[in-house]
Amino acid sequence: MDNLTFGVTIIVVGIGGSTACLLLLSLVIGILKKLFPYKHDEDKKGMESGRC
Amino acid sequence: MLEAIGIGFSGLIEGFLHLHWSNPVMIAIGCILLYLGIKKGFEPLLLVPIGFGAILVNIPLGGLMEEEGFIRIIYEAGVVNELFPLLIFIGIGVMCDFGPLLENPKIFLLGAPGNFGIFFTVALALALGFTQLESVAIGVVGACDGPPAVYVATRIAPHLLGPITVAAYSYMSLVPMFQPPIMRLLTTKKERMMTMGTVKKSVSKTTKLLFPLVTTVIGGLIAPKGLALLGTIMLGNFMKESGAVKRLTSASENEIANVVTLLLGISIGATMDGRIFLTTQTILILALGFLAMCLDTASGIIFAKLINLVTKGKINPLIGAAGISAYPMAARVAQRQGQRYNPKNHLLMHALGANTGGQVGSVISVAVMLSVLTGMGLI
Repeated sequence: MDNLTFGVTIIVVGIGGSTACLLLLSLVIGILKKLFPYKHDEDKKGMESGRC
Repeated sequence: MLEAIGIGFSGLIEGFLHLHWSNPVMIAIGCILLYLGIKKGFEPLLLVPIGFGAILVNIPLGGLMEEEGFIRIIYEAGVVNELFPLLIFIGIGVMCDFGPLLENPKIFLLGAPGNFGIFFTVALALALGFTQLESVAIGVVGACDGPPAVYVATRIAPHLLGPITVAAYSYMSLVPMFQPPIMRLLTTKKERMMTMGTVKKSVSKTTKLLFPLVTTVIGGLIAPKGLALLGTIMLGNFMKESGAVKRLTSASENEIANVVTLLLGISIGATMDGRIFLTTQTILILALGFLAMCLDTASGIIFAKLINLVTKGKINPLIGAAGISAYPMAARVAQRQGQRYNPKNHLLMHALGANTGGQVGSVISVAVMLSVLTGMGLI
């Protein structure tokens, strides 16, 4: 493979692939946050167990 | 008898006789690295063993990097087989707090442009005459993180390990110096003064625990060739979030990370033999590495400006510069720059989110690139 093709491929697939991967992960985080919402008593429980 | 005494004395000057002009230069460079680490506080944990290793290997006839040499044994045991950077990555995973990132997943995207410099630098290195694999290894300096640079260089361009690692670790510590001018150049005063509000706690412990697992599986499936890097950083973070293996997390971020950092540093320093190191190629690699990090910062800021435009003023473009892997230095730089123009500006938590996004982004970028190389049949 010549250097021009290689360079362009690396830029296009690299930038596209890493951005798509992070986009997918950010969507998954959103889903996780919806499935397992934060409960305000979590900290309280943590503190209690910490004391034990 | 006199002859024997003469021969005996001549043994004491053998080292001087074998001194190549490049050795004193490299010993001076080793001393500069020690100075930067000790006096200036630039990544001392790495620059001190690297600097000392560079001095050791440039003293002729010591044989420390020869077959039975003690540094060669360390080098073979942990650098050649990519073990040391991976062990360090477990410790980094333990030290990383993905909380601010999980609070605002949109910021995760800033981790991608914060690593675009890697890809542009690959193209530049190709244009300068480096081979395809060498160019990729040089581009990875733009990941702004030592372990990925060591990991990739060892795998695809081991002869460039010395300059690549020195560039990666020394530039990482220079983030507070080279980022602010780029930030000022690419943002307006009004943008720098923008506030982003406070980060509300909205992430459950289950989400924090599942994040490293999910990231490992998804990232690993997309770019399996980088799974070792992604898997180790996420293992460290998973252990920390689980709270069930405190002895292991403590060992990973303290004892293991410290021992491995020492061994890795001295081994890398020992690759800096003047006869091999002092070439035009090394100067080009150092220049390209610096450019890669500047390009990362610039593309992060420009991308953050775009998000700011789309979200109608909700993102301060300064945090785009934190989308690189230098954690938590880059986040602190964004915070300081924000406060310099608006004392009421508290960007730190947002910048930390972008910074951890950059940490994951750099691993993903490297993993994607390794998978592309595999797809092309180059590795």
